[in-house]
Amino acid sequence: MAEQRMVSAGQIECGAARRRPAKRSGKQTGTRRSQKQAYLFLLPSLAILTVFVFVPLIGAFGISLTDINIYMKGGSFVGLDNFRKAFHDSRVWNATLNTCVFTLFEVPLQVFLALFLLMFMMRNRRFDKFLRSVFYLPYVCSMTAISIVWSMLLDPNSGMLPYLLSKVGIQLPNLLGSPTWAMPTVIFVSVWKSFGYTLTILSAAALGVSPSLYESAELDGAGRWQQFFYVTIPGIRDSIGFCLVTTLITALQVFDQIYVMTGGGPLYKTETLVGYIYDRGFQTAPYNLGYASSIAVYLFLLIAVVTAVTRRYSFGQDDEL
Amino acid sequence: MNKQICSTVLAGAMTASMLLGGMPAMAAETEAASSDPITISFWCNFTGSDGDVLREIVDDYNKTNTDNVTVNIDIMDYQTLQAKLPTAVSTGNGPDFILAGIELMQQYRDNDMLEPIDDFWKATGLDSSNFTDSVLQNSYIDGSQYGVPMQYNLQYLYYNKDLFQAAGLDPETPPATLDEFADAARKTTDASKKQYGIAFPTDYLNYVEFLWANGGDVISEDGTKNLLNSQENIDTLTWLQNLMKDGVSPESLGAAEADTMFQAGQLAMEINGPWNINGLNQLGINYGITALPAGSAGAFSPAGGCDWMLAKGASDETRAAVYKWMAHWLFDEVLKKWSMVNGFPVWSKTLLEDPDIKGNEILTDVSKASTIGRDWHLRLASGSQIDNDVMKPMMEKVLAGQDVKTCVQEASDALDQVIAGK
Repeated sequence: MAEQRMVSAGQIECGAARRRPAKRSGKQTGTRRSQKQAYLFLLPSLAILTVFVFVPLIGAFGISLTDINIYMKGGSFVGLDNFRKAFHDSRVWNATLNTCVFTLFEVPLQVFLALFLLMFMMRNRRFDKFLRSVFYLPYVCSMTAISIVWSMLLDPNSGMLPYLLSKVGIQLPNLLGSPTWAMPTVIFVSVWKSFGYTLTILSAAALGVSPSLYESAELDGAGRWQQFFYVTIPGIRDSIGFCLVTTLITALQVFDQIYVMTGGGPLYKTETLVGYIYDRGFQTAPYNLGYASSIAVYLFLLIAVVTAVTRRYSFGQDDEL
Repeated sequence: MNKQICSTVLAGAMTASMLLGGMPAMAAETEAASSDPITISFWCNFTGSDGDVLREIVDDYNKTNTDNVTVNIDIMDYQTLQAKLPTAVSTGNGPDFILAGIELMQQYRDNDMLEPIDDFWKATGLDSSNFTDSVLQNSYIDGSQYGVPMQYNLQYLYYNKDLFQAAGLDPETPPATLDEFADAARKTTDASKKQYGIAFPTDYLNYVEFLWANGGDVISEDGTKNLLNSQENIDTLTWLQNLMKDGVSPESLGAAEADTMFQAGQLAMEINGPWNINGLNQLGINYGITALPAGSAGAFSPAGGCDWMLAKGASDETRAAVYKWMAHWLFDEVLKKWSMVNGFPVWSKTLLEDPDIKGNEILTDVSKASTIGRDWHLRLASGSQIDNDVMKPMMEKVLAGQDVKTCVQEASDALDQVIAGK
């Protein structure tokens, strides 16, 4: 039955083409021209993506099947040995767990904080714009610089925060040196730095929601909170999905702040997958790029699966990002 | 026949005259080639104040040398250097020579990154016997020379004389034994002032000196024997853990924080290399420097230093120019400047007689404390693996108060994996 429908649709198309050949041909020429132009515009980005993303990606897959080291020595084919070794490496599992913990807390916190603040900044007054700029500022700063600043602020012996809190009788523990507090502290700093970006995206989306919807809701007796939950949030659903997916991918690749603030410690409690990849490839003998690449491939697959699942549930089934 | 002989002799004479006549021209050409301007570059990780001094010495050389050699210096942090250098040298895009820690020389050599420089002393006409032999020996692997020493150092015990005096200790008699060290650490600790006797940083990679002091060890020099799981080591680490439990050191701090605390007068003692000296002098801290304290088996300190190394693929011209720079570094006036400003021990015998060197109290103390050097996995390509996968986790756990025997057992198992090459 389905085949019959397809055939008849094809026949109709063919018939239509036969009936209006000139017009059809003109449209096709125009479409092809605009397609060519589109490809030309895409070319620079594609070239950069090819050189800096696709080639290294394929290269990493290839390298993960060898035992090549950072000095470009070795390079013999070892099959799936690196993956088998990674499977039995307790530090890979520990890093996976830490990466997941970081992601599970950092992403929702960042999005919820942005949504919460958005509720009070819906009117787009001058003060709201000022606040948005202030919240966005940390995002444009280097993560390394911010991590250094927070490390200094939190230093238990010379940091300003422990000192000020001690003046009011609060003894702050060594947050970055404590196996219990190191990860929450890193998550806090990451959220503090990045929520401004999410807030900006969501604010822009919220401003695009039709005012007539708010007016209708108001006429129906909806309060401010109800308007936010039943008009704003459904109106910016796709933008929330976009923020979730992008922050999720970024969170799963977390590295800079942990490298600077804790170095993966104490006792590997903040060591993440990218940190461990860096350690095996560039910090610790035998600098095995093959093994590091196999963990990178594993991380790639993890991100691909998590992203696909998130996209499936963050956007409407018919929507596309 | 005569004609044949005559023509042969003539031809021979002509050829000989051509060759002989051409020789001075060739020699002149070679001379001209050797004095052709050449630029050589090196990479290093001297990101501190010592990097400024190094840059100054390079600039002086570039301005004053008559060899037509220009030296370019590229300073980057250690991790960047480690990540960039191997790939750059392997692909022919690296520097002409390298200034790096002697602990890296073995792996650089094993991975074909270095040129041997066995003809260095002969080519430069320098007298190698003027330099301390133990320092020079660090530049040789399997009888071949791969580097020229740039600086040499051990780990030293710094102590704050003011804090010692305030605690009733004699500031001119620093601790010489581990017992005296522990006693001084306890006496100078005052938690209410956030003042501590010593710092045991979790990322400090040289705790081996404590193990050596009491007759323990980690691995044999040839890297084949695991020596970690011994009663001596368990006893030493238990002693260290007890000191930590007594609160003589801040918890979970890094080596950089320890430097800051010593500079701020919050630490009475710190173990570190000589690179701290310049900063402490500039800050006007009243400090002393002495050898690491001795245990039941004596006093030892892991030897370290940096060497100039010629990168693989250097042309003859580059090699000649690099030799000139290396020879320049070994002049007493350059070594003197380096030692006087940065506090590194002197290893040139003629320089040791210099009145300025003899009159410098800190340098004299450093030189006295530099006689207890010992090889800490310098000839093992797996050195960083021993540091990162064995020693660092073990020390972190011991300092965090975990069961010492279990920590040592786990570290020993990890060391077995390293030795097995896994």
